Parts: sequence; C-alpha cells; structure tokens
Amino acid sequence: MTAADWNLIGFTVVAALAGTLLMLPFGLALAWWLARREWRGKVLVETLITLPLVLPPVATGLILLRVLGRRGPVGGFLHRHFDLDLVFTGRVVPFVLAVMAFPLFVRSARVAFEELDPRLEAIARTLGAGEWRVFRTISLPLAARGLAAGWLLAFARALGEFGATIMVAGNIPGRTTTLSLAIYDAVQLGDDGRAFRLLGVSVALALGAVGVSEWLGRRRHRSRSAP
Amino acid sequence: MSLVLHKVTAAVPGLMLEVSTECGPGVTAVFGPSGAGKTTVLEWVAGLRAPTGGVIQLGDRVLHDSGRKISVPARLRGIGYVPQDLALFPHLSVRENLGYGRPAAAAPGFDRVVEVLELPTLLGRGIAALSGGERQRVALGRALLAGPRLLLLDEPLAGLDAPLKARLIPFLARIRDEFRLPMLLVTHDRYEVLALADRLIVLLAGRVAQAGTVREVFQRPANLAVAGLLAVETVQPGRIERRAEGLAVVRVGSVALTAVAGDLPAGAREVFVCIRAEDVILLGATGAAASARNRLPGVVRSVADTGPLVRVELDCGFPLVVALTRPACADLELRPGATVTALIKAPHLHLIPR
Repeated sequence: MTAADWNLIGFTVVAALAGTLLMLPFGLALAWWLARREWRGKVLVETLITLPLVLPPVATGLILLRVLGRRGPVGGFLHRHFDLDLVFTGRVVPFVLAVMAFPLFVRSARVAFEELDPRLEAIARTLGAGEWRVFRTISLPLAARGLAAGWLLAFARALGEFGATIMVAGNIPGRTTTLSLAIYDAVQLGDDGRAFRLLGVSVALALGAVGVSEWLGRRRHRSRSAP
Repeated sequence: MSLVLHKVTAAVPGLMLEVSTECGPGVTAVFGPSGAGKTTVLEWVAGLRAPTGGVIQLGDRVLHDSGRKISVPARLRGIGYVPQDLALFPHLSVRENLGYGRPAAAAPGFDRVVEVLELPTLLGRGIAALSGGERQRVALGRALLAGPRLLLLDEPLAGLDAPLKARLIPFLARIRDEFRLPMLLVTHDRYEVLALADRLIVLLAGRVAQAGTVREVFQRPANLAVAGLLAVETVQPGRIERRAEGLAVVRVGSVALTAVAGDLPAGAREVFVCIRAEDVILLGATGAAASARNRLPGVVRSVADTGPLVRVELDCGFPLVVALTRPACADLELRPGATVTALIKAPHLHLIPR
C-alpha cells in the first residue's frame, strides 16, 4: 500500500461518511413522513426517490451535472453568489454520494418506522408528549437498529459508487478519484497488483458494513420475537 | 366531572356506531360482546380516533365537535388511557415508563402511586422482565402519573388467569377510592363490572342498549338482548355473616342465604349476591322438605311472558327474578299476589366482593 493508496481510501471513506451523514436528517424525516402519514402526492414522491436506485448511475450523474454545473440552477446560483464551483471538485463527491445513497436509506428507514407499533406513539401522546418528543423518545430509539442497518447499507453503497461520481466529479487523481474509479484506472493501465490490492480493500469495507447491517437486522428480529 | 357523548358516530369495518351517553364520577363500565364497538368508544374519548360526527365533552370542555370542526389533540386532553395490550415502552425501564407523562405539579405524588400499586421493587427493571400482573400495574401507574382528569381502561383484566384477576381487582378499586378519579372501564366480564363499577353502559352492535346503575341494569334489563348478555337477573348487595366448611351465610335484607364461598377472599364482608333466574325452583305455598339450602317464602309481584320462558318477579324480602317454563307457570297458577316458596341451591348463589 502506498501513501497515495491510503489517501485514496481515506478520501473515499470520508466522502461516503459525509455524504450519508448529509442525507441522514432528510432521509429520516422523509422515511417517517412516508411511514406515518397519508398525504397527497405521496406516490409521486415515492417514485421520484426510488429513481436513483433504478436509473443507470451515469444517467443520474448527468442530471446532477446539469443541476450542479455552472449553467445549472444550483451550480449557477452558488457560482454567482458565493463564487463556489462544485463540479469536477472533491467537495462535490459527498453530494453525489448523498443523492445515490438516499433512496436506499429511505426505503430501509421507512420499513423500520412501519414496523413500530403505532400504539406506542399514540399512548405517548395521551401522556402529553408532542410530536417531536414522541419522535425523539419513542419512534427513533425503537427504530434505531433498523435505521442503523439502513444507514450502513447506504454507506456501503456510497463507498462503491462509480457512474454518478465520474460524471459529476470526473476522475482527477488525488482530488476526485474514489476507490472504484481507482480500480478502473488500475485495470485500464494494466496495473493488476494495485487493482487487486484496492479490490481487497473494497471487499473488506463492504463486508464490514453489510455484515454489521445484517447483524443489526437479526438482533432486531430476535428482540421482537422475545416475549 | 362528567363525560358526555352526544350522537357520536363512526363506521368501523362491519359496524355503524352511534353512541349517546353520559358518565358521571365514579367507575362506569362499558359492557358488551366483542365487536360491539367498546374499544372504539375509548379511542374516541382518548383522541386516538376521530369520529365522523357528534360531540364529546368532558366537564365543560369540548373535546370533539364534528359540526364545529373542533378536535382537541390527544396530548392536550388530559385523559389517561390503558389499552388492552398495555403498550408499555419496551426500551424504557419501569421508572422511565412511569415518569414519561408526569407534569411538574398536577400529578399525584410519584411515591404515593408507586406505593399504592406496590411497584417500589420493580422500578429499576426493564419491561421484558415483568410478569403480566406487574405490567398491568405499571401501565396503570404510567397513566395515573400523567395526572389525568379521566382514566380509560380497556379490558384491564382480560387475558389474566382467575387468581391474578382476583389479585388485581383490589388495585383498581384502590385507584378508584384513593385518587377519586372518574374511570371508564371497557369489559366483557360480568365479574369485573360487579366488582368495580358504579354505573353500567351496555353496548350492543354499536349502540347504547341500556345505561344506568349496575343494579338497575342487572335487575331490569331493557330488552331480551341485554338480559341475555348479562345473564344474571338478580343482583343484591349482601353482607357475609359467617363462614364455615366452605359455605358462607349472607344476609340480604331480612333474609339469610347460604352460598358456596368458593374463591371468595377470606376478608370479604360486603358482597353482591348474584342469582340467575333459571337457577331458581318454585314450590307451591305448601312446599315439602327439600335439599336446597335456601327456602325463601315470597309473594309474586309480576308475571311476564318472554318467549319460551316466563319471567316471574318475587318479593322474598328482596326482589328475586325467576325464569320458568310456561307449563310450570300454569301448574303453579302463578299470578301477582300468589304465595310461593323459592328454592336455590347454595352453589347457584354467586358472591362477588365489592
């Protein structure tokens, strides 16, 4: 492992962490809203947020590129008012990963909230608790395992993101290259040794995240079936 | 503080509900078969389910008024609700469950409630480590400690075995007496009604079939459906005079009756004596000796034809309802004013402590 490899791994992990933490509050709010409320346009929102899961990542990347680019609505606004450019920089990577990880998290978080007995929340209300307190003291802690499992899954997804990242951030070694982009590069350059080293790292990271996620899921079911 | 429901309506799957009733202080039992809409009524009052029409009022405060589009949110109603499944918070300790809804001042003291419900040794435990009866007491305590103005209990003793029921009833009675909290109690168990309630609302197929004091309703069911549901026609307060060899002598008015004491608690003094009309045998005025322990001379007050059976009301020192077949009634030439002797076997007298 070279210093460049370690930098690369560090950048990828930090970007995936930042991205999944960035989308966490929005994901929690939306998942709760989908699980617990009926509202007009719910089906539309459900469809929209599932889109990045089924669209080719490159296509999602292209949309993000348009939106975040200097001539796009968000990118243009940031450029004009804050002289801030996002596309083809390292700082855009967490945003891209947040978008790509969002649907995965929302889906598992929604299930985690739906599994909660709504009577517990209802009883908390009869005891005088407002909605925020009910969420903080009942829904969130009781769904915690499911939420953590969902977040880890989203994190694992973010670690391996390729298509959208390369569209929006490019592949600039030392600045925007992530683990999966580097593996692709190494294979293209015939550097099999590096490709397999990085492959090993990817597998280890993914195994760790998915393993813990599964373990949390299992514990959740066991604690549910206990008397 | 009285709770008033005025033409409160809703459609739940398979049932149209329309309920108008009034519950005063003390314990009001909502009694009915399963599927009659009892739990729905509690959820309306608690604010967990919105009726489609009608007015719900507690004291002078309107909780729900469909016409004026008023619906006070559950958290502002100040109504304690103990659902049938208790819904204890599984991730919190007993102490945290109890303290969840406690406002700063209004609640009766934490220590007092914990003491009355005999919870001190359980405070540090988790919910999973509690027995059924302990859970029931924690759920009661949690609702009480939020300082409610009204307590709703949904089948508080359902699913518990008989000895546990007998142990929990005194706790409920203590809450009723110590905290002077009006309670609305949903049940399909006569025993719970007689042991705890002052007033009774009979709910049949989504409607109030009858409401009144417990004795009134048992003694004078409004119709056959109510009578069939209650299945105990005579309910009289009595006082245990002595107990021996598994039997108890109970004084009801001027008459002493012998009953099987069964699982009646040893200290019970005041009881309800319950007699089913089918369990009473009538003899003509000159009855011979019989094995039945209770021989009660009486006068027929009324005779009413109610289908296959005739309902006869006697005055034996207390009003006693008897059900007879029509031929039996004809043989005895029963009419108001006739004198007869009622026989009741001791095991057919059911005693309920009150």
